[in-house]
Amino acid sequence: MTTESLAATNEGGGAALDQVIGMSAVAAVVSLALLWIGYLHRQRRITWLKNLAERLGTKFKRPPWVALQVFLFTATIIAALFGFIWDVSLHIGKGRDPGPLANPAHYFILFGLFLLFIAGTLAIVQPYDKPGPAAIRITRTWFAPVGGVLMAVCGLYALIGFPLDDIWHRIFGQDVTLWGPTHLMLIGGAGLSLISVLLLEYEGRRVMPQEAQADDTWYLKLLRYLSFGGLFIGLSVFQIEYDFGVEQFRLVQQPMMIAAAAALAAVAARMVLGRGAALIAAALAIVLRGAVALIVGPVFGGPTSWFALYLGPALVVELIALTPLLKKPILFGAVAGLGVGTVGLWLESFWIDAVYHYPWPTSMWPEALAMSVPVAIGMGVCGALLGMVLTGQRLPRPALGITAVVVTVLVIGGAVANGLRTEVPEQANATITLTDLPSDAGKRMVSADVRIDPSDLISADPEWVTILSWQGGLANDRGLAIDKLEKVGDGHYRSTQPIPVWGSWKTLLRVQDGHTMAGVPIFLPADPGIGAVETPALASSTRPFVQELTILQRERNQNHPSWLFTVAALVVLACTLVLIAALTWGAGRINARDTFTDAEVTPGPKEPVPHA
Amino acid sequence: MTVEHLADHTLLLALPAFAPALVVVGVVVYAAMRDRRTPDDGEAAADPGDEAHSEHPGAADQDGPP
Repeated sequence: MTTESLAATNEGGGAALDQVIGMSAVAAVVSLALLWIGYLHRQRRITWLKNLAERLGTKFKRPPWVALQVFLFTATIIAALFGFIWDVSLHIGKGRDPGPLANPAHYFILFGLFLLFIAGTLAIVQPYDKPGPAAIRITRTWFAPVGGVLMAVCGLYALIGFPLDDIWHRIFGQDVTLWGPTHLMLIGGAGLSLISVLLLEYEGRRVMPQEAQADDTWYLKLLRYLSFGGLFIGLSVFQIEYDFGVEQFRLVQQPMMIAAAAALAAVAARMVLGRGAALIAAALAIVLRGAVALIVGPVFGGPTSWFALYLGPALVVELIALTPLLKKPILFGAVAGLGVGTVGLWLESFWIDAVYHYPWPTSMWPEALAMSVPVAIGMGVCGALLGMVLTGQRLPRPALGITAVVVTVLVIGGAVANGLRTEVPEQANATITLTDLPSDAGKRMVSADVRIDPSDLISADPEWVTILSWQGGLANDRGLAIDKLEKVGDGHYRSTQPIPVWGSWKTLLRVQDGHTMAGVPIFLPADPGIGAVETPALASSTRPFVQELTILQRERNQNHPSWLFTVAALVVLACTLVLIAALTWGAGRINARDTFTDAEVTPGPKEPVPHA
Repeated sequence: MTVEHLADHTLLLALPAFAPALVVVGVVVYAAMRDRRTPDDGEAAADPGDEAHSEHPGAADQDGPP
């Protein structure tokens, strides 16, 4: 959803070309200017960049190649987050848009991802002296910090998402979902960049004199907590469709994703910043996500979104960290992951049940736990490994660390694959009777009576039986309405609120019950842009259940060989694995060249304020 | 197939977002390649001092910056 029209549709071809020429000109000027500044800086012909970075470095008690970058990174990643959430809300409320820059949110995303790359590049270009023992040699007089290289790689991965996204849409049409593989690259690159900034910050802190590290001022401490809050948010970007209540995949994925993000972020935060850090980081994430949701929803009039609180999982990690387990980081990570994947999720479920459109039904828990627990244990171990790197404790043999990451990736892959399994019931129909309600002229609102045949198709405790109306335009109740249907008998449901069936609204009946996931269109407007005819809202209709994606993603072009989809998905997967491998390698390299003075002298980091 | 083209993009539109990053990566990689092709003694002798350790790329040098 993020970028289906960062490149335009041909419906607005002329305007789009103007935008491309404009953007290309801006991009050319900006990149030439940056290259020129970089060249002059490396040649030591300008001093202002060095002076600026050194001034910031002194203020933030970090080397100049960290302070400026962290500053830039924070600005850019918040801009990208804001643009991302805003963009998703606009697409849910309005549908796809006519040009790459027709949607203002795209500026924030573009700016954010590009500046993310620039921040990483700046960390590479800036240092005159070798930035720490792990630094990567570029030439014999030019070394780059590992965190900076990784930040640039994350930015590049996200930016590669743009052309790949384009090729993807060319072949497969616009998939109006966040979970298009190329969309996942765009947001995943930004999300995982939080790990790179933590590594860069650590490299910088490590080369400062001991006394400079000890007395971090309050805003430095806040920044460090904030970076772990960012890690919570960065790992949550895959949940955004669920946060708006328009998930196009099974609900059982949601607890798994929450457990995964929580286990890694909370374990790492607790290990690095000590007692209370997991809770503080989760609280800061709430503040940030809350502010963005507030601006996008109530202020800008877009659909409202929620977000996982992570307080329950963080509390579980804090409690487990009170035991001696903390002295054995990897075991601590695994046990904390287990706690997050069970008790943590149970605590989180109260929040989900309270505010989300789709509470977690009891019938979902066995499968949810079967997916979440292994994922959370793996992510907890990965969080512990990251925590060891960031506190200067020697990692176990490289083979062990790599195995942990590989196993975690495989476990996540397996869990996601299971979550993607859906079945469309054969020979099942819904007879939907619509009754007109009083409404403004031209704005037809109806109530619905739904009879499902066979009547035992849906169990007593399904994930959802709802009527979703979306893309109705922000002026019309934010363009999104989700009505959880009231059950009046076996296979008999009725609506509880007026349902829009006019204008650009797309309205459908949705059912998810275990592996069953299907939909029945109620009203879909004609869409000449994709050559689709109207599905009229008849007073009474009997229509078969179909795969939901064919309704929700009408733009998607099914007109291609299926192997092509597999190959395209594998290309994106390969890019993703390269990124994860790069982050793993970078963290390992920093650790392998660390000095381990204090970590090995002190018996065990009970309160690991690193290097203090 | 007409359907496919109506609500579709051109690849051209993605270039501004992507090309500058590739150029920057290209320049850095070029600098690194050129340095590795240059014989060791020339430049190292011309620029001794604090970067001397850089003659042992990839070694587990623990010295760090000054």
